[in-house]
Amino acid sequence: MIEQGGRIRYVHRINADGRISFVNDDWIAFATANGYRTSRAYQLGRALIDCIGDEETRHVYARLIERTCASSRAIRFVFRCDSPHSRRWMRMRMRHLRGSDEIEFASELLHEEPRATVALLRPPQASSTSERVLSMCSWCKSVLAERAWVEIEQAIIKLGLFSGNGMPRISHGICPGCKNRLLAGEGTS
Amino acid sequence: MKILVVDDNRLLATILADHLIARGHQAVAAFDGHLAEIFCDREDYDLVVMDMILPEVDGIDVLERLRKKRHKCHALVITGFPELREKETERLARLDVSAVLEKPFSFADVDAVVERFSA
Repeated sequence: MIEQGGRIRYVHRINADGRISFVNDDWIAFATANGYRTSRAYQLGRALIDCIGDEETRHVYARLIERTCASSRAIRFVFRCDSPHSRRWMRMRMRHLRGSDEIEFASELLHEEPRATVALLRPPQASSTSERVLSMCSWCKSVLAERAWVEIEQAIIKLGLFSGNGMPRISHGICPGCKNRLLAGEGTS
Repeated sequence: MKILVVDDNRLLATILADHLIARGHQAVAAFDGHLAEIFCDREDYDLVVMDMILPEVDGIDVLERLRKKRHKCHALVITGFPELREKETERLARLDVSAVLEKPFSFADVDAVVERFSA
């Protein structure tokens, strides 16, 4: 069992192809307790990105995976993982495992509060309908947060991207730093 | 060529339009889909460079409206979502989208598409 500081840690890992290569017993137990009929045999080999419901969240996770691969630092952020009966705040730690191509996702429950049961947490939708727009630089993948362009993991914290209900829509553009570099490179500044 | 660049990232729309002007084209920038439609209703453009995701009304929806109004301009769609490009392949073909560029792109990529239309 992977447990730290008295909290259970729900762990899954993906390989270099983005497919689930490991899930711990607590992860399976958590999924089962939340009404998902699943098993280790079913999960192993699945593409992680296919398990994420909406385009925006998939996109943010893809960028986070790129960042994790490129860095030796772990990325941490708080996210919401509600059930029909409760609001839950969880903390995620993503890290590239040394000596392997795997990325580990370890989450733990920070806080939970009950609520009146809702039948369906989020209706199925083709794409996000949020009014909020998240500006991402296509060149360096930084995100505009409170008038400053920051790394995506900082933006997740500053903007509480995974802490509220629904992801904002993502608009891809260019940040001022990349604009200057692009113009200098193209010789048209 | 007369070119309309549509992107809600003002910086990107502006530098791309400026680049096209520097290459000898007439280019203007619009920062949302509604404005793009108004521009196209007032002027004929040879090419519209359209961001796929825009606030309020998406780029592909704008192109759909333009085609319904019989606007025959070439369309170059730009997107930061490679996944969406695959998902919308059929619709892009139906709207006679001539080319799709994924962000980040270089100005040379845009020039190559524009030159193809100019020929």
